[in-house]
Amino acid sequence: MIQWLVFFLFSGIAVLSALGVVFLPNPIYVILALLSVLVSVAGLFFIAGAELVGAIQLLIYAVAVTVFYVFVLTAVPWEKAIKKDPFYRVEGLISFPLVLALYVEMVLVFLIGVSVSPKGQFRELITKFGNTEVVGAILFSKYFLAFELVSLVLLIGMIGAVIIGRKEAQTYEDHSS
Amino acid sequence: MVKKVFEKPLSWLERILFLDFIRGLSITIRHAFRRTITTHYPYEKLTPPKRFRGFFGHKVVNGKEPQPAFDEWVERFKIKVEPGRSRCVVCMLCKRACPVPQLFEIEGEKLPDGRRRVSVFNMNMMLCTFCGFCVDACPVDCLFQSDIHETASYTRKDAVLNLELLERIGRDWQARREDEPDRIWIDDAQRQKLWYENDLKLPEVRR
Amino acid sequence: MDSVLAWLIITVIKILVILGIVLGIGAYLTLVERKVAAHIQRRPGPMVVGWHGLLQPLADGLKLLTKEDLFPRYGNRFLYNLALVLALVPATLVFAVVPFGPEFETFGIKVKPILTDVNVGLLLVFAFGSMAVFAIALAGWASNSKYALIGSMRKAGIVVSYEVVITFAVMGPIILAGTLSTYEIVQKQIEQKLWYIWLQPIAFVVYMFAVLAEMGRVPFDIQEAEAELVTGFTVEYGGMKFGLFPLVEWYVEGLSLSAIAVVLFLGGWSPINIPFLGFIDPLFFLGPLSPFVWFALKVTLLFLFILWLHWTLPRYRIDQITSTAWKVMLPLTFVNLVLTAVIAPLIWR
Repeated sequence: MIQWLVFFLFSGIAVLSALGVVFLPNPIYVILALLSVLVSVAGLFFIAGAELVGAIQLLIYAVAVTVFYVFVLTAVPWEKAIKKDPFYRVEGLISFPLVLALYVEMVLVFLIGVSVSPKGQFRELITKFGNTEVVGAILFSKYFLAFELVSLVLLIGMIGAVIIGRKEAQTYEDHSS
Repeated sequence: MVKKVFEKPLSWLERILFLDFIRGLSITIRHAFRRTITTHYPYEKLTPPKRFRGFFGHKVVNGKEPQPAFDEWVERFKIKVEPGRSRCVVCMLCKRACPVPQLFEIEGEKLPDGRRRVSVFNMNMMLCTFCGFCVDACPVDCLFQSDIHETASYTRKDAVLNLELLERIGRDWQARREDEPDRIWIDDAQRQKLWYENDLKLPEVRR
Repeated sequence: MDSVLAWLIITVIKILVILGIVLGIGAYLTLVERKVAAHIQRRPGPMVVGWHGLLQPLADGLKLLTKEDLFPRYGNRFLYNLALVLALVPATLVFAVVPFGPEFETFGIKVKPILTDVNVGLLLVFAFGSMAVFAIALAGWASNSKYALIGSMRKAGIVVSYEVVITFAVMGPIILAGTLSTYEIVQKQIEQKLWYIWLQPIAFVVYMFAVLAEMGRVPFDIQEAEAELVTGFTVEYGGMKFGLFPLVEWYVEGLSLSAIAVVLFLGGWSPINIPFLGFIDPLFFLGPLSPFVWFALKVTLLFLFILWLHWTLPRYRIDQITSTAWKVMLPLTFVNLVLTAVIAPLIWR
């Protein structure tokens, strides 16, 4: 009973702030709405008993990722921040079908995942061993290949970032000399 | 010849064990348990040195005037000398020396017997920078700076020193400190001679 | 239904006790800090209000509450006030996972002196701890002042780099204990008869550095840097709104991070530990109260140590701080992780 109440509270906040992310004009408010979405989704995870996922959601998404948005946006002068007209109207229209396709794909994956998911198979394991251990065991046995591939992708991303950063430094030196 | 001094780099032992941190921390902890050295200001007050540049005052005629300068100036301006009153000879040199001359308001008056006397001597301390040029300029050692340093007042009017107040400050200071040898700092025993404990009170203190 | 009601009542009592203790002690730590700072500089500190200034925090609070509430022109009032909430709430939420002592029994009910014993408690600590950066960034941006903005950017830079370091530093104790729950980490240390500081000195030093950085203490206090930035991101705040930021950043956060350090490295509520010998309890005469006293004592000593550091050291430059974080502290934590992985099987048996 209490769980349902809290669930609806958090999901309501999440939906409202997601709408805010889309419709608010001020980028700072948009970031705050995004933060509220992420925190309330973390709350949903906590209610579902997935404490590890909830905590990681808080630590990675709500803090580490959003901080960088805030970091960049606080450097924007307030006069520019409250600009009312939407940017990139044409590009938005062009990209709309692609975004739609992406969403359709996400919905499909979600539905398929629901239909073939292990029906409460891990519930016993989680109560027996604890959240973190079960996630770790699954990650390093069944999904080991996917895990390693994702870490490779991250490594490539990091190398790319380093190269881009270096390039800027070099052009700056060339310019000054 | 310029002597070049380089910072001694930290050795690896110092870096790993934070020896420089420990050295600093040991100094602070030693100081933390020693006796405190502060004066609890509104409850304890130090007497400043004799040369302190505080509030202004007029020294009064008491037989210790600088001679022969005082007699010469008195003769030149035909000043009436009254013991126990200000030594001022209304020469206006203090006003000349002042970087903000309008803070002085000095007037003399002619007495029925033909001698002259200072009648108005106002100093607006709101404009004063306590530079002491007027004190240097005074030829008869009349205007001086006392050891009074609590100069705050509640109204702008209270910041104006008039002749009566200046004389009172001067009498008080002469009674307390005129015979004191001129030193940069004074002994603990002389801290007892606080102007606060004497009868002299500034207007805002009296209220 | 009865058990649910009992659980609810116990939880509410715990919340009230923890909030009261944290905010009350937080207010009084201002006096402690002023006294420590004063004596290090050979001053007596506040002496007038009450015996040796004991009522000074009340006087300060009264003064701050009755001050005029100023607001900078062209600032953003909503974010300006939101920043306060964002600063206070996560900092106090951290105390939800701090265990104050062992489980005890009163009136036939077993009570754990910890608000929620989630099995990912430590992750939550660092998630909530780094939430403070939003408050700081928003406070700097909303007050429409250059000083505030520069201060908040500096602080955000520090927090971003030291958040990584602190997370890796606590990995060592987590591996040794094999759990993320704060309560169980302490229990593991008592079972293994070993404080983790004896095995993790590198992690402890790195953790202390990161604590100083997160609290904005010297030598990492460039976000307020009185000489350059007035007081950094709190410049435009006045009255109690100004008082709240140091209260949260220096005292509430400092208390919570010292408590977590005690839990992770100094064995929580266990008495003095000597490796290979076990525990020695000079406070045995206190009986069942002794664990709580030990916990409070350790947190107090650690906090005083942080104060002592603050009033001793000079301030680093911003580039020195970030380069220390990424080039010294982070590699040290990696070395420590490898060492821990080698010795962990010895501990587990």
